[in-house]
Amino acid sequence: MSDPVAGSAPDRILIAVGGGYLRNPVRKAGVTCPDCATPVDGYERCYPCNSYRSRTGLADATAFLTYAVAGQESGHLMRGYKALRPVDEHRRVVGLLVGLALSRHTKCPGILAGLPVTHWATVPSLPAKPGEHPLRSLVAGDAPGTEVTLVAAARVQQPRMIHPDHFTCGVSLATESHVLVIDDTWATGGHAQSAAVALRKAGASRVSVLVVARWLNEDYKDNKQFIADLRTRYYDPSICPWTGAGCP
Amino acid sequence: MVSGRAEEHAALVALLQAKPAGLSWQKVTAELLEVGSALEAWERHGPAPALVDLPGDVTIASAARDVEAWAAQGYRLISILDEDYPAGLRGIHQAPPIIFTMGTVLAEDPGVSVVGSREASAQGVAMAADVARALCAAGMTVVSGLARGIDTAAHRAALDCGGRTVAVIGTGIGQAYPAENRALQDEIARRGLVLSQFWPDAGPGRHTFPMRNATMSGYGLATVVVEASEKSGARIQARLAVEHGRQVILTDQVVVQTKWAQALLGRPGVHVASSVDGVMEIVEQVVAMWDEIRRLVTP
Repeated sequence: MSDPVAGSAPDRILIAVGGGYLRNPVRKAGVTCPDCATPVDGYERCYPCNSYRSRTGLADATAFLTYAVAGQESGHLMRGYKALRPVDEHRRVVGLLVGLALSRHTKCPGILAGLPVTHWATVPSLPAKPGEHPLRSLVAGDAPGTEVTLVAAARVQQPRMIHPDHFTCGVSLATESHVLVIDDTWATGGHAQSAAVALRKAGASRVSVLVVARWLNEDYKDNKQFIADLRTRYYDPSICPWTGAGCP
Repeated sequence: MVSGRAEEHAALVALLQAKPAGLSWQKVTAELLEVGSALEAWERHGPAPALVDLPGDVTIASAARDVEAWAAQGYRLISILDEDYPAGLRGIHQAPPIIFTMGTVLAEDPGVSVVGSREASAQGVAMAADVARALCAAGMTVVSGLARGIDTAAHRAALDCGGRTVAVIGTGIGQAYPAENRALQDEIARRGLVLSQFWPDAGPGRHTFPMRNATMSGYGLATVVVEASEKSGARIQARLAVEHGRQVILTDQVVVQTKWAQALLGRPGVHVASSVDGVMEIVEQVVAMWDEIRRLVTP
């Protein structure tokens, strides 16, 4: 009768401590943007992703672990885990969430791209901030392949826009390199896509982007209803973040 | 910027008293965590420096006088940026930017809320007391809301067996509600902790009790609903606890008697127990789960 407490399995633990407020992103044509999982209200793509579309070098595939809603518990999680005064609980939940996705869905981006992941990178703060980015320390043990370090520009005009000079990567990558970019929050996609472009410039033939949270504001268009409809769609860690359904 | 705790507190109180447009307490919480300083938040959002000081204007100096007056009354003010702010509470999005306390503050306090009806049956009162004693015996803190009925029974039993209890109250810390529980509140202030998220002189209000329930849910690891009706505040706390990623333990009696409890079955972190032992078995698993999380992820 009673829902057994997690025991030791990380997926059960994640459901117990985050299932009440984390929500698997919806990946459905005409309902959400195929690039970023934001509601599209019948259009094929959301406005920002559609405007980037003609540009070259963007990510081949994107995966999202949860929605984060401004002003709700999920939004508090994504701000708190990297706040100047970080919230320990938030770091632990984000660590569980991304760790589980990396260990359970290690092969999924490689299968989608037809090329196994060879490298990983986290997206640094833009403009550059001193110290290690909290996401890097959370994923370093679980991310596949060799790390590629991205360096953020010290000064930027429009950090949310896609720009090939926002990040640089000191190495050149062999052809047949597939880089998994790991980022915490996608609002317009500018950060993750600029990272993807920088890695292409360094020679990556495939770039896949794994994002912890797709940020949503309730007061934008019909988002309020979209979010309300997710009220009882509690988080299910077995849903593949790369497809929104079963693994590829 | 390095600043003294007193200055930080004065800046925070000034910010909350001045209520700059659009800055809810929840936004103040988010802002404080993000910038790490109340003085900096005041500089960003507070009113422009006055050309002349008018009586009634909120300034850091006027707020500092309030902070001193509260301290003189024995009310301790804790900011969400202070190390001794309750760690669990910081995790929820309704985390108050400041709390007022009387008693012993523990940042890491293994608490479990015991809540339920104000009009409790003798059986419900007995079970609340039994759960409170079992929690104390397991080294846990009994958290409740100082209301009549289940809350009072849980606090009383914890005090009587020498355990720790925390009262999260729905009024300012200088008030007591219901009035008949003033002596109990004073005793908890001496031997445990009384915690309030409202201005010290604030009375009870329709909105203050649900806010208090959110705080209680965040403070502890789990909420045990001992006995409840369709309209109990416990219902709100159980729903909030699910949204917070906190565990909810319903007695089978609550499940039989209320539709809201039936609707919660199967939701993440919702458990049912039919006895005190059953409650404690789940509590032990919850404690073990957090140990495992700490082992799995080091922040």
